[in-house]
Amino acid sequence: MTLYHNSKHKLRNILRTIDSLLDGDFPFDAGKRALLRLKNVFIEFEKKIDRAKRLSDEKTIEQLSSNINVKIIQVLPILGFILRSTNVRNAFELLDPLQSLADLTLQGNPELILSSEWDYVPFAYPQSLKDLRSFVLIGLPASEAASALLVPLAGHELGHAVWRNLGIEGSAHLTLQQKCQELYRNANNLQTFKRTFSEYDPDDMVAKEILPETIARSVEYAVFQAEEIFCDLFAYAVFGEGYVHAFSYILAPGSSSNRRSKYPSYETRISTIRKVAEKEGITLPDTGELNFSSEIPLVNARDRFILRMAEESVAEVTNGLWSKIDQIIHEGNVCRPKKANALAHLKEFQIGIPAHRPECLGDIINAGWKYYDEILNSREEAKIPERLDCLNEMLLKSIEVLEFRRRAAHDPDRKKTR
Amino acid sequence: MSDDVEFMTPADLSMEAALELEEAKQGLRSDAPSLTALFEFLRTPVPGFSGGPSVSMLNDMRAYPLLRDSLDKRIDRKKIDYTKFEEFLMNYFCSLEEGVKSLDRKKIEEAKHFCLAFNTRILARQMSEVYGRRERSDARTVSDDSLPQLEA
Repeated sequence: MTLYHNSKHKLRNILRTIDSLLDGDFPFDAGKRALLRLKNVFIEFEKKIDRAKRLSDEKTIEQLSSNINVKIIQVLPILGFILRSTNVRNAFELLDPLQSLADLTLQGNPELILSSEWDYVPFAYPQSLKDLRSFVLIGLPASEAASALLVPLAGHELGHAVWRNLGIEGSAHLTLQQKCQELYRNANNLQTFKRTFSEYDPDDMVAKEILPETIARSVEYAVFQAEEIFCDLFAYAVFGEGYVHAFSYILAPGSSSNRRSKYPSYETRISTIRKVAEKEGITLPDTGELNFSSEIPLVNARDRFILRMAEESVAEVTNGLWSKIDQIIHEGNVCRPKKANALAHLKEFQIGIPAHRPECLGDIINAGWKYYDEILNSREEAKIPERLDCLNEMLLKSIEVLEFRRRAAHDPDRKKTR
Repeated sequence: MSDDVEFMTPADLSMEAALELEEAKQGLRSDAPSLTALFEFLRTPVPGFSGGPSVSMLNDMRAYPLLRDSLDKRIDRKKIDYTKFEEFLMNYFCSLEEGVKSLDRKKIEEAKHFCLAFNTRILARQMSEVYGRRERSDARTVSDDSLPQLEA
């Protein structure tokens, strides 16, 4: 038994697994194309490891075996994701408006695959799987995959694709890195750094590396946090107030975990969106009104210092992030929600009919959240579950009407949605 | 997001370069274009928004520990200063490329070592991202904000 033979066997098995998935039924072709792309990745690995074997290059065989293991670890959840994208658990009605949004905001020909996750948090693939770079994979929690009110969360996840596809990450990274380096050069901060990281010694060959490694960590957190804020603001731009309600629904109260450095605090996220909304004359609920409680702060002084540097640098770029989103929305001619439209649709939902002549997905969802509140505040508690199910059906029907109107409209310049 | 342009990640490029270098060492070829492609990838800034400025991996602080630790251990660590790291690496890559071009066996071996070490660290980072996403039983008690590890 050798690494070479074990790796070859693993490759055969993963290729067989992909082939068996390709034999299935796909309501949309994007899933099949993604599988073919992944199949090719493993075929290439097979060629490489055979080449290393012919060279009797044991070191490279060993490294390739590691690569193969890691790729299988990355790809298996995606295979499951693609398989689940064919399941009727998903609300296929959501695919067209989200694909339209992807077409309007991303370069090239993005292919959206919407699926469910056996994981509570909505997720966008592939964060690190560059093999599927022309695909946008968005997963909603399986228990909520058919909930139309949560489609703004898919908007947030689409924001991750926009962040990468349009080079926002590159631009933001440059600025954040410069800001972090400035912060670490600041006399007060440097003093705190030296006190907190007492083993730092600029004259010691090993200990001197503590400074750049710490800066690197702050930059890493800053870029992750800036990306999350970008995605929040993108989802707000497309869905308006509906986004903060969906955000609250899925995450509040948010007190069951320690503060994670790669994410801004809930307070920061909500207040950033509120500030942008305020400039547009819209008042959004605050973290208290959205049922968030304070997160457990980091205990370790070093972690807190690294995080503070990251957060201070991120605070300086949020206006710039919104400007970019504004530009993307305008250039893509993306429909932004209007209060008057949402109120009109609310009246329609109140009499039990889908939205009449909807123009914008955000309008439908915002009307939905308003009606959701009305249902919960009604006195007929026993009827709430049934009424909420009915609301979901009306929302999905309204989204179908939106798709019909889009397809029926004559617009030769608009990208075709598959 | 062009489907037709072949796109190789740094992990792909480093493995391909390692294979080409081994082939060069065994006299089966006289060049290693993937090595050049890898260095070009590392040197080239990713596209910025609307064609604006951006960072390359060479001046990316996040990549500093990864690139530093991929270097041959025989390189004098006193020569490595993060403020001048980009310049150091540019010169280092040039010397490796020249050595490979002239089929210098020691340089070919050194370049291959860099590719394999770099690949190891890229994979480690990818695995951190995978584990960071997973709901592990120790995830709630162990902070992922571990202290920078000092190598002896």
